[in-house]
Formats: sequence, structure tokens, C-alpha cells
Amino acid sequence: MRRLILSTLVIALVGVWAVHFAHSRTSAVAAVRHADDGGLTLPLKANSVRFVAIGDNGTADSSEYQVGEQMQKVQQISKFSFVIMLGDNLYGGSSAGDYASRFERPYKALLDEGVLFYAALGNHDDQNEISYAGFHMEGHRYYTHIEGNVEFFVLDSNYMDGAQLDWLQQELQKSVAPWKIAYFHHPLYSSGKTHGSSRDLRTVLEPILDKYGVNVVFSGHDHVYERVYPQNGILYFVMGSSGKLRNGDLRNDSLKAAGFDTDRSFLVGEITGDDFYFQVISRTGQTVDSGVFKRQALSAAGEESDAIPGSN
Amino acid sequence: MNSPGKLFTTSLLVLLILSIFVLAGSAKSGNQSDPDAQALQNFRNRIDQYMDIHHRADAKVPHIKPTQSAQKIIDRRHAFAAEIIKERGAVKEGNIFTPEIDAYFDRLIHSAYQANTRGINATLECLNSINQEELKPNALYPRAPSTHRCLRLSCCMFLICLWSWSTALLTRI
Repeated sequence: MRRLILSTLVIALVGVWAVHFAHSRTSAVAAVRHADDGGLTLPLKANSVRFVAIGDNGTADSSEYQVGEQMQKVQQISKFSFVIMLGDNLYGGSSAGDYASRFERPYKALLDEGVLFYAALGNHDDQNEISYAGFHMEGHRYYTHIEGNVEFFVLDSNYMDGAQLDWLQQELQKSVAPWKIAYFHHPLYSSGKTHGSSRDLRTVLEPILDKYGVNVVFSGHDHVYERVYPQNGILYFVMGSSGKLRNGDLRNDSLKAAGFDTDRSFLVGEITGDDFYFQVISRTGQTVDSGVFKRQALSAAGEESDAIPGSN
Repeated sequence: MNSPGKLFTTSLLVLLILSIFVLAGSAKSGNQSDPDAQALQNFRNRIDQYMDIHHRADAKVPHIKPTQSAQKIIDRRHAFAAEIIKERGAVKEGNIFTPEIDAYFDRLIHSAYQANTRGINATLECLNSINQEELKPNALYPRAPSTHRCLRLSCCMFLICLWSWSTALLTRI
């Protein structure tokens, strides 16, 4: 009798745990598809700009390597040519070996293929990383790079001083690129329970982004993936889970258009004409979000028209 | 039963008393915010001074050209840190966090803790994983052991295994 009761108890406990685990794994996953064998939703058009976004990745944990493997699988199909890094590129990067274990080895296959990495600094990064050739920062805390019809504005949100804000205004003013994408570590909008939106930064930065017609903004810091409903026509992404993860850290609020907080992920994007296609892929190769965002048009006064939000 | 005139007078009186309370409260909070604003401004000034030292030190240590050599970057980091230490001299703990600033942040954190207990706890958990003895003025920020979470998880897994094993053993008896 005692044997029967104990066995039932063990089975019941395991059952409850399994159901709970399965639920938590699938609740945040929308439209699961495997991306590693032609499951890409991107149109892969000729002459389009294709890239990947990763954030908070430099942990040297096995998860970072697994995300790197998925990125390589996607690269074989999509042939993206560069990766934008949203900060916290090297956690505890205090020895030369850290550069190898947190960057060179996890992304070796991509580096061997000639994929370029463009980094922004996070709060866990050392300022001297700007001299690391692998990050293509050319000795600058903030810089721009142009890829086809897209200009990327890379900022250092650790210290947003007047000089950086002036520089950003000047660069945006003189930019003729149809697409303007900004990226930096601290998110202006985030539903992350741990950090959430960086409101002070938003106060100084958002008016500039709005005024000069930035189309898309990428950030990290909160260790989740989130697509925020467009704010003043700008599409905001939080991609802070390419290495670190805070399981279940997303709150359900009015900001969140889509999110994934139960595993690591990265975003692959393609820009062609006025469309930005995006697909978010998990460590295990599942598509957890995808959609298309139409570039907002600038009116004569520099005001943006309504954007069409991306959808699953 | 109250007459409408009496009801009106009573409502007016209640409103008047409430207004007095609200005004008194706002005047009190206005008085409190002045030292807070002062503390915040003082903190900003001290951070700006600290950043000036950073900029000066940065200018003194030769910049390296973009390099694939991580060792060169680490060497420059150490040289930069040494220059900051030289510039700041014999600075003591409390140079930036004066008692007034400390008290201001205490209040701020206390109120933030009420609003976001989970977030503050997560941050504290991160700080706790750092060896507190290594946190010294002008020292390099210590490295947090990244394995502590894994270790904790492993312990949990071990306990679960132990529990399952003993349950299985019990069923045999």
C-alpha cells in the first residue's frame, strides 16, 4: 500500500512539473517553426540588406555557443553579411582569454565566413573594447556605419553626454540614407521587470530620434526579447537574451507587441525597399516572432506619417 | 433628514479642510525636495569631476590602433586604470557618495524597492555574487563568478536526484 502511495505521489509530482515546464516553454512562443532548414520567413531578395542583432551575449556559457550555431545555420541560408551587437559583449572581459571565449570562439564559423560585427558598449563592457578590431568600432564610443540604403547610428548609452547628443544630431541631419537605424544598450522602452524603460535616457534621446526620422531602434540590457508597439512611428526592439536570460521577466503591459522570455534568441533582419522584414529565432531554432515593418515617410516638416506595425 | 442648504455647507467645509491638508502636504514635500535637488546636483557635479579625471587619464595613455590583440587592449586598460589611480591620489570611500548623497539614494532606493522589489532583488543578487572585499576605491571592478547560478542549479538537481533515489529505495522496502 505504502509503495503504491509513494509511487503515485512521485508520478503526480513529476506530472505537475512536466505540465508546468511545457506550459512555460510554449506560452511565450508564437508560431513555432524551425528556422534551420528553410524556415526563414525573410523574402531574401536580391540586393537587400541582411543582418543579425544580438545583445547581452558575451557570457561564454554553452547557450551563447548554441545561439552562435543557430546564427551560422541562418547565415548559410540568408547570407547575412554583418551582426550588430547591442552591448554587454564581454561579461567580465578582464583577460585576453575572455575575448576568445566570449566572442571569437562562439562566432568562429561566422567570422571565418567574413561576417562583420559592429558593437555598441553595454554597462558590463570595458571602454577599451572600442580598440578591438573584431568589434569594428575604430576607437570610437559612438559611430555610424552604412550598409546599402541603411545608415546605422551606434551610441554609447552608458554616458549620454552633450557632446554625443550634438554629434548624433549632426550625423542624423546630414544623413541621406532612406533607412535610419539606431542601436545602443539601454532600452528607451521595455517591459522587462528587472530594468524596464530607461526614462532619463528617453527624455534626452527620443526627441532627436523622432525629429530626424529614425525608423528602428534596437537595445538590450533586459535579458529578454521584446518587440514594442511603434512609439511615434519608431519600431523599438529589446534583444537582450542572446547569451544571458531572465526567465519569465517580461510583464504584460501596453508596450509589448510580442515577446519571448523563456530561452535565448537573436533577430535576423532584411531591408528591401521600404520594408523591414524581421524574424526572431530561439537558441533551439524556433521562430518566436516575425513580421514586416514599412518605413515611415517623412513629410516636408520632418514629421513622420503613421507606420504599419509588424505582425506575427 | 438634512436640508439641501445644510448638505451644501457641510460639503463645502469638507472640501475646505481637504484643500488645507493637500496644500500643507505639498508645501511640506516642496521643502523636502530642495535638499534632494541639492544632493542630486552635488552628485552630478561629483560625477562630472570624476569623468573629467577619466577624460584626462584617457588623453594621457596612448591610444592604440584597432587591434586583434586582446592582450594589447587589456594592457591599455591597466595603464588607464593606473593613470586614474594616480590622478585621484589618496581618495577615500565617500568621495562621491557623501553622507547627504548617500541618504538621498537610500530614500530613492527605498521608494524604488516598493515599486520594483523583484528588479532591486535581482540587482542585489548580482552584487552579492561579487566578492565585497575586492570592492575598493580605485580598484578594478571585480569579476562576478558566473558559475554561482550553475552551482546552485547543480545543488538543486543533486537534491532532487537524492530525493528520487531515496523514494525509489523506500518503495523497494
